[in-house]
Amino acid sequence: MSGRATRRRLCALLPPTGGRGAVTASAIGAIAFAAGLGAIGGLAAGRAADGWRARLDGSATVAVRAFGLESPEAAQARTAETLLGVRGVSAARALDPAAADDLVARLIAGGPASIRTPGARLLGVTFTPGSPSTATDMARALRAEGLDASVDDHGLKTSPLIHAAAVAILSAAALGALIAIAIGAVAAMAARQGLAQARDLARLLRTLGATDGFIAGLFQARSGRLAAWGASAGAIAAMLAAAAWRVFGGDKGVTALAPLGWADLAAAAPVPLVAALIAAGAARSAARAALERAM
Amino acid sequence: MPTSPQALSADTEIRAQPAPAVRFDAVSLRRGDDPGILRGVSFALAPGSFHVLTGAAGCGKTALLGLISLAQAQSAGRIQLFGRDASALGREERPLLRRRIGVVFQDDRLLDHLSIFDNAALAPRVQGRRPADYGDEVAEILAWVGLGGARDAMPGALSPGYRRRLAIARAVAGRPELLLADEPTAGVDAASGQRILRLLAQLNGAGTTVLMATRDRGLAASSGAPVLHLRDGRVAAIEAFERAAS
Repeated sequence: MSGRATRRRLCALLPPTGGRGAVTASAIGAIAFAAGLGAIGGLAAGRAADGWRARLDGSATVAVRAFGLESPEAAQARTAETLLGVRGVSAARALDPAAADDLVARLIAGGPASIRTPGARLLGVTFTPGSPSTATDMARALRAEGLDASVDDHGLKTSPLIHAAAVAILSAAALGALIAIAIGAVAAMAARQGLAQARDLARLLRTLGATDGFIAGLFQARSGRLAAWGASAGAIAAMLAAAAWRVFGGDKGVTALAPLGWADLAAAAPVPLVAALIAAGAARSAARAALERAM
Repeated sequence: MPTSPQALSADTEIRAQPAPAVRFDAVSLRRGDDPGILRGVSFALAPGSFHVLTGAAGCGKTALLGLISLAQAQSAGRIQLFGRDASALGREERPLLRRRIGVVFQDDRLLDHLSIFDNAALAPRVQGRRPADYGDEVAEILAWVGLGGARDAMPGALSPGYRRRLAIARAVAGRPELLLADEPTAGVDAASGQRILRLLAQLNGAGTTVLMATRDRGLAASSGAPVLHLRDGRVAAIEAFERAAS
């Protein structure tokens, strides 16, 4: 006898699933699509919040209004000089009107025309890292110099951003948990149905000396494989959808609010592996339980 | 031909060493309101013996084989397999004991989605042996039953006689110490039936204990083996087939 037998590929013991396997894979694929989008969205939301926080933390904007005979530019220069004398301020630079308009446009809905005050000028303030100044200290110093100025500490705006990001990430995690449960339920149901239809085969294998673990392993492998295929299709679809979001979202559209990077698409990559592991584990547990009950 | 068995009859004290391959003590099997498929059955099969189990259709032959193969549990009585009390076996021990028993089912139970080779190799495969270890062995068994040239074919292409031979090959591939054959010649022509009987006799000659259930009186007679005749849920062990027929 040649070594053909040793080289031959071991074929699946379970009979082909036919359409039932395709239905299971499709269901898991649809769930994985949602999981992929959730993972990508969660990552993008977290990154967006981090980006905004990085831009806002450690800085402030000061608006100064000239009055009397003092020109706006002179008031702006005097404000910068005053602020540089405040402890915890490392830099204070005058923003030219165009840059100020742009900043306002990004921060406040409605655009700059409606909020600009005639004669007002803006300054960007950078705090000393580790010992930043406060809006109160800066306002007090400006008042002492007779300047009509208001201080907008950007750091005060980070709290709601952090909260929003945490909500987004937790929502994505909760969605992930629900999806994991759904994948497990689909796989367990498929395994129970498969075992019911392959009852004679299971009995035969038992007669031949197969352990319950061996038989359950067949359903585990099949479910894992089906889930991997279905979830791969779902994850790829999610990546394509996110790519479309990235390409067609536009600078002023959804991508401006949640700046999706190409690397974020990789968040959907682990979905097939996770789905396969969940499905395999759920199928094994369901099959073992059914075997112990039925025979 | 089969080896001469120990003298065995109901309620006979077993003195053979080692322990009988199979021993039934007052075993009963009931299902629902049925008064009893088996009622207080007692017998023993010595290791290396060949017995024929006869009885009318529906008398419980398959049920009795199912008890021996641990496919079901008795309602009462005690079953010992290779000296072990079957009822006392733990969940992990039962598969190990089943591996010592080969079963040829009445309905073959071949897996039509697997090739002839893969069907025959089921037992070593579920036992966790590697293909490199059992490949040649299974090929030899297939050659022995006359299927050496058809290993890659599918069972659906086989005649009933060859399907039965494949079922025997599958039962034997696990190297069982006890072979249970349930109507192994049913539905096959006389020549195939004799060929199957010779295969079982050869196995018995190699030391395997064989219990063959059949309704075919001619086959039982030609086997020359002692007969366990099942009637009214009870078994009677008779040395010669003629006495069972009478």
